[in-house]
Amino acid sequence: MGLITPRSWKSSSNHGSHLESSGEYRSIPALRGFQTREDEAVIVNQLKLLAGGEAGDGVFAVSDMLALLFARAGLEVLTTQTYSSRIRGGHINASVRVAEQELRSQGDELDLLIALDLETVELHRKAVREGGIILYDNSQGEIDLGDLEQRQVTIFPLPARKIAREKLSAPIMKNIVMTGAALTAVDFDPEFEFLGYLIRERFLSKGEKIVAKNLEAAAAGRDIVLQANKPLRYRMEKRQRARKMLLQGSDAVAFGALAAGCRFMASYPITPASDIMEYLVNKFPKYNGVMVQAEDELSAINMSIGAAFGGTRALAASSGPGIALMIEALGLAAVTETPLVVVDVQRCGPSTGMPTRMEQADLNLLIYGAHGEIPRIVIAPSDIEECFYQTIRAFNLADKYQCPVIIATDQYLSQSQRTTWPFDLAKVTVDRGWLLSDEELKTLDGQFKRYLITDRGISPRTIPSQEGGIFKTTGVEHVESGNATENPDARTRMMRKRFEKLETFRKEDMLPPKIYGNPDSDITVVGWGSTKGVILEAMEQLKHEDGQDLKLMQVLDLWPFPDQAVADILRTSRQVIVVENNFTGQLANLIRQQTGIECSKVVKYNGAPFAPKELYQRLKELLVVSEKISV
Amino acid sequence: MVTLALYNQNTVKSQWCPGCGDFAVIKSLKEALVSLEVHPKDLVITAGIGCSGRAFAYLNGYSFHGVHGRALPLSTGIKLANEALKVLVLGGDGDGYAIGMGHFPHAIRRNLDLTYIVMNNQTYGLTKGQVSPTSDLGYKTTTTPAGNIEGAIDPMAIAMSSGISFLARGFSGNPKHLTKLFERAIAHKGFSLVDVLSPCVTYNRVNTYDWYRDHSFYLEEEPGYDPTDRKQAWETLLHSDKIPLGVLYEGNRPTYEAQRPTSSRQPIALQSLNGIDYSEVMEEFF
Repeated sequence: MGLITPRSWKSSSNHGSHLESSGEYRSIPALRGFQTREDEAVIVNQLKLLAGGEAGDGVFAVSDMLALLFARAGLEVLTTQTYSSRIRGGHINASVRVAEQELRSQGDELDLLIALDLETVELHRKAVREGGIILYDNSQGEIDLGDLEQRQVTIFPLPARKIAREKLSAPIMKNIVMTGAALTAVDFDPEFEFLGYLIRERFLSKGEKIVAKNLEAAAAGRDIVLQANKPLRYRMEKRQRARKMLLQGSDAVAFGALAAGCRFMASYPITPASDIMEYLVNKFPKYNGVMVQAEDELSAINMSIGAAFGGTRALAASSGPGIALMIEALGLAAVTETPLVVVDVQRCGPSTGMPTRMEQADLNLLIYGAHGEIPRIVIAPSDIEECFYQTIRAFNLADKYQCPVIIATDQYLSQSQRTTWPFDLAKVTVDRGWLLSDEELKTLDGQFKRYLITDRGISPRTIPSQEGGIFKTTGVEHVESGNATENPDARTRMMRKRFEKLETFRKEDMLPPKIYGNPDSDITVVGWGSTKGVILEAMEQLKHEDGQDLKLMQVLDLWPFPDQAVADILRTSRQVIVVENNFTGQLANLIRQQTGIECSKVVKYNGAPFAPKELYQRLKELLVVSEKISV
Repeated sequence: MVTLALYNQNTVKSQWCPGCGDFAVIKSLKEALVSLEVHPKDLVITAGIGCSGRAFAYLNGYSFHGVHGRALPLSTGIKLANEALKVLVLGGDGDGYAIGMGHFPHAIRRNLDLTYIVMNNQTYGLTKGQVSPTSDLGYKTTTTPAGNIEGAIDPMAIAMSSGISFLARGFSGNPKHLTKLFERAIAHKGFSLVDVLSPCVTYNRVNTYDWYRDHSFYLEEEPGYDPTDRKQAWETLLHSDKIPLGVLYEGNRPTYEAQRPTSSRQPIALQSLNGIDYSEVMEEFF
């Protein structure tokens, strides 16, 4: 009996027939039918769980499985990962938020804590809400109950390690034991309809025995929770809806690059950007593309520039330290007018900073980083869809304007998985810009000028091997033919030509900021990148609890800066509050520089993204202050 | 037909000092390309920064003159974009063995079918006579007024230990020999390095044409020298009193491009990007 491939997965319809041969895990009829007491309020389909343990424990295996199960059950899912820059040891955790309505952020308090070790309970017990659940591995000892009983937290001790080692003789299966228990603790998937499918999908290649053993492990976890006979205050139910994907921002960027026709990437491993190279290296062979792991980022970006010059759509991706090394070559790409897409998955800087934590502090580097002055385009996607569609747009813009296009994401957006509607692949277009055909070259009769000065600043391009298209390109200032010059007039003309491209971009392609919330509000919250979701969630709370119905201005195209559009929106605002994850308020400063408008700053730079309640409080404080002032 | 006249098209007047060794390099290179019948449209010359880097403008062909020290990575991208192209990398000892040294062993072990020609004059010319990583001990320059105390690196040994596919050394004082070396290097499938002793007549008054003539010998004239014998190549490098000229080593490693996993051998840059269905890839996200 073969495995049903994910492609044939049809939402939550009956697809469980393939599981019938592995019946052992169903053999607990005596415990079936356990019900929550009628008089207890049960929370349905609202859950934030956090799985934690030591690095190397397989924490993310648990959280990934749970996230996928809920997503396949027709629920909305948003995950985050918190980890350190080491392989074994040290606490790591991942959160999974689940709901029926679309999720915007990682949320606040925990409903369910899944602790693979005792330290996890100590670190996160305070975050567990009243009436929440703690599920912990008590193989290594018991926890101190403290105020947990008083706060009506349901506790399920579970010797997952012991069970895995002694009963299953497979220590690694402790994670499946925990997963089975976690599902049961939130009253979900009692028949293992979803988990069983996933286990078969993952382990069938290793044989039926391994599948059966994993199911046995899951059942062992489930049985312990059921035998504890405690009332269940949560219930997760499957919902009928069209299929949604579950993917992280980096996947969307990488898949976007592939769909845009990118066929070359050179990169040097760096957290948290390596996901992109690891994704593309697996996809490229089928599409005749190549990913090269370079010896450093200096090499990586120069390889990508070479590939782009050679006629391939090319990508370079890194994080802060690597981007800093790439800056010299960014100038080379700009002055040689070579199309190039660069992704910066921002992390906490400066220097090594906090490699696994999020920050939005590279804005200045991305818009200004260069010696001399160069045209470039900087785009900051704010969600998974934008990660995909803006990456495709970036490749088209790079070819059209023959300059570097930088996509700014961050660790939070890149490594947070979210349920997302399938991308509309029919919308994907590949526009290679002004590339001359061999026929067009023939008509030029040897008079091809690679850096022809035009009204729009854009020149015709050829790729090596084209007859009649030979040109010299150099980082030295040059004339229209590409030959070097130090003539002041030629220099002036060429600088103007290059910057004219940005004026053309303003006219033809620049996207104004997007407006969310109440467009008529005279208080504007401003954000860029991954903060959009949490700002919207905080704004919803302000609306419902305080009657403050604000608007959000989300800046997508950051450079060239949409001066006019931003000024038009902000000029009518009584108060402007810029929310960003950095110390100095880089976007707020940029807005002041470009428009003269002063903004209030809400900044955070401790490595964690804003939490919705935290941001709600901080916005509320600012609003109160401003009201007092205006009185 | 590929002629010398064709290689003289699209070029600019040289800025090199009269007598510079690099003239012979360009002359020999053009002759080798003509003899191998490489059309300039199928040629990409990449170059680093320095006097030698200017060579990109002195012969016909597509070319990319990049930033200091990064011609090898640039070439890697170009070659992978279109494996049908001949890619020649031109630079000097400062560009390749100082600022660009980080890429040198990696480009060699990666083994793309590239030809790297280093015009090695053991000094910095364009910045007016500073010490270079190949300058001899005691060599006096504007930045080593008391003489070089750092010692020179041996690019040939580094190339050997990095697993180079084809390794040769030439001398600008013998352009005919140089042409033959270039022909063999360019024809070789895999990464080839020709380190050319190319005197700087302005700043290096020690390592002159005569000095090189007195301090070198030709491997071709050594009875029984077999460049396919790796051990012999190492022994020659380590135990010669004089500088060996000629093909030191010629191996037979598979190239990077031949080994990369792919469904098609069509040049990457020349394939169509339209009408490709990616829904199967997207399906993995469900």
